[in-house]
Amino acid sequence: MLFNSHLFLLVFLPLAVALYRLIPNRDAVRVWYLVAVSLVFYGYWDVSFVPLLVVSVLGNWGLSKLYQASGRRLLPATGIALNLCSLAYFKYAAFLVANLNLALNTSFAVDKVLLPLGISFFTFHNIMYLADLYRGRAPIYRLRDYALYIVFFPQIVAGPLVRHWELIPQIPKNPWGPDTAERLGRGLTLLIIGLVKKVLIADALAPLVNATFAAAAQHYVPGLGDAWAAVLGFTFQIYFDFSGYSDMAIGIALMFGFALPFNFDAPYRSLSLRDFWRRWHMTLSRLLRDYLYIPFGGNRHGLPRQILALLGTMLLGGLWHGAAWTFVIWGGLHGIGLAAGVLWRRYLAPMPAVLSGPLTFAFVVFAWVFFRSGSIGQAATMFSALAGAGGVHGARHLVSILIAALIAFLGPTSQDVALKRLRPVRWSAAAAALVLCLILLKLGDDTNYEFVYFQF
Amino acid sequence: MTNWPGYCRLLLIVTALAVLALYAAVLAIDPYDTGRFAFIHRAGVPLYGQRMADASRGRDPQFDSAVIGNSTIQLLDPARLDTALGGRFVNLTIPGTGPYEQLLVLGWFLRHHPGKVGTVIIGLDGNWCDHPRVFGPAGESYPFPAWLYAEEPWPYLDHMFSYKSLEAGIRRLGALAGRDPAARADGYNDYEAGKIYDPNAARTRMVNGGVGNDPAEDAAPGAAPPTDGARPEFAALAAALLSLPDSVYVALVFPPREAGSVPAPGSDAAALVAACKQKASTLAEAHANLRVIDFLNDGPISRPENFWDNIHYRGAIARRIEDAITQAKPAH
Repeated sequence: MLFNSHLFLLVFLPLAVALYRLIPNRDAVRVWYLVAVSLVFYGYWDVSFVPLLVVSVLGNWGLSKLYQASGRRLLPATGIALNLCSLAYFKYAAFLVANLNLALNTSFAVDKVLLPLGISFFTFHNIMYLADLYRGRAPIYRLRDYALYIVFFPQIVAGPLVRHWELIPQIPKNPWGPDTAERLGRGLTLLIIGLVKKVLIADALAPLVNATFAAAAQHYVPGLGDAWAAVLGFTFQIYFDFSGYSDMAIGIALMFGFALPFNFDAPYRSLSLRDFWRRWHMTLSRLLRDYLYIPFGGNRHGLPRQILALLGTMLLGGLWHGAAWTFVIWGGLHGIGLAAGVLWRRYLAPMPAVLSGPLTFAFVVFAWVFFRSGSIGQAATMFSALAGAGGVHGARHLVSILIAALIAFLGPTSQDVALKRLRPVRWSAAAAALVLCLILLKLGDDTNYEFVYFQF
Repeated sequence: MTNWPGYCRLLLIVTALAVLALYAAVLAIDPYDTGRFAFIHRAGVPLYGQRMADASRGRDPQFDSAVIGNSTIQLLDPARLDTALGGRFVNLTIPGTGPYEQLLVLGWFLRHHPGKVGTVIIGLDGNWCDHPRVFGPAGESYPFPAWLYAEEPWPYLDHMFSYKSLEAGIRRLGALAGRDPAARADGYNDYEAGKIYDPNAARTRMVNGGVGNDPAEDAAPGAAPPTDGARPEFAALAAALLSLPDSVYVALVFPPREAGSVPAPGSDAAALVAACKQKASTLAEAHANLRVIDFLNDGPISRPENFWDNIHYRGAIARRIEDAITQAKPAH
């Protein structure tokens, strides 16, 4: 079920928290309870994906136990390969076969495979653990602890991509200590902030963005104003959608006593692309850095190797988002941009912030056109529209874009508000309550959008 | 208060109170005048579209007879029907709907007028015949509020806690206070009003199909395969009519089309139309006072000068249909 639904907010979450309080306060009971709750949450979407998830947990944990018994590093390596194969089958089979057919002029058919929700995320959790195991940096966990790491419902569908040594050591912490009320208050407030970002900001931008990009997909060249509004609209939509989702996930986890890593830190205020990737989808960035960029050579083997490592990392990072060339191009563009930044920093004087900030933002915005487009042709149509090929018409929805821009550029981050600045005073509790009530009203309307990141 | 337990308590209590108060207020205002849980018992709603307004009209006790269908039967005038057929007519037609939506509205009207229905007129257009739709929500060409017309209250209760319902409730209060105009009670919506007929413009619309005017286009979003012979909508119609006593006059009308949109003899579409008319005749066997009024032919009425586009006829034709329905009425 969606975080932004009556069912989740009015039934599932209150019940899950209340029962969590009522069950015996022992590690084993708490962990198995959270695993069960998470499977209910996940299974509500499509119960037929639950067996795959359970097999994934048992298989990967079983490999770790076999590794413990035998000490053979082939085991985690095989596990990584198997996880990649499952991801390849579910996510990339159709793409691979279609491109193979195109290249070899063949006509292999492949059945359309339904993408299990969150597979990109839970597969990466498994792979991160096995990679650490391979490098001798991970302990062997209890089954229940490992299961919770993989299926914990706040993060199973779209992250944050948490590392096993961040989550599992928190399990023995008593969730009902003296700081419980503060944790619940701050967690709930962060959840409400995330809902505001998703329901009031991102969803308000969705109709314009969807309509204009859909028109471009039909080879209709949108007018100049609409094209810019759609591209800027998507820039803010994806930020508020995904960071709002991340806030909700972190807030909900906090209500159950777990601190998840932050995922966003005002990314559109970045002064360089390197800076952007330290503030955007931060948990994916550090994963790409630790498990691709550094193994590829990182910055310790000379400039050419570093640039190749950057390009390779970002191309794969792009492909991770989906089986399409537009994602590869998006990743490739960011790889090239990051490499250009490396060269600039090495050979040229630092760029003043008044230039580098807008330049970084413009680069990110143009790259989003590929990310949002279903095909290269659609992206090309959007670029021609941005240049005025569809005629110079005015734009709509400028006010929502302006509000979103002001918050993204000037506003504090949600974690700063909810976890640091928030004081337990009457007016803030009442304000949060009224905002929550407004959100619940909005969620009663028929137009609730799924999270953009659920498709990846 | 400066402590976290107090913060959590206040947040939850204010949320719960605000939610309950707003929910109770919306239910009591009854934004769409459905009569469920209402504290306000004055009939009528603001100027909503037919989809939202017909729940109020469909349960209005001043009416005992109804016209059901879409824009292809919309021009039948309730006031004229009152005089011609007796009784009090309400026009419950909703543009862009197919059998699924129309039968929901019919069911709503019948449930709210038990034992006192006089006449029911149902337009069976292309969506019932040669341009069938999926019989269900998937067949809707525009989102239809099935929850508003549902027999059980749960879907309605689920939709009432929403921003749209709150807005509608505020609008209804405005209309009841006389600040906003109210929707017309008998539902008559004359699409010719304020327009001057231009034969050339009409012909252009016919040639081009006109957006939303071509029956095929109208049905496109939820179109079912035309070879599908099952047609559950006729079974559902038969079931709905079963609840009516034989004394009720039921007129099933096949509205006219411009000649270019009448299926050519021997075509697949013609076969579908023939099968559809056959099904309507079968219904007539089960109901003593059911009559089929068939204007779907290539004849003088299907001449282009009688139409605004392929399927929307002019007022004079609507009068002919009203007359035909009147003449076909059984003697008792």
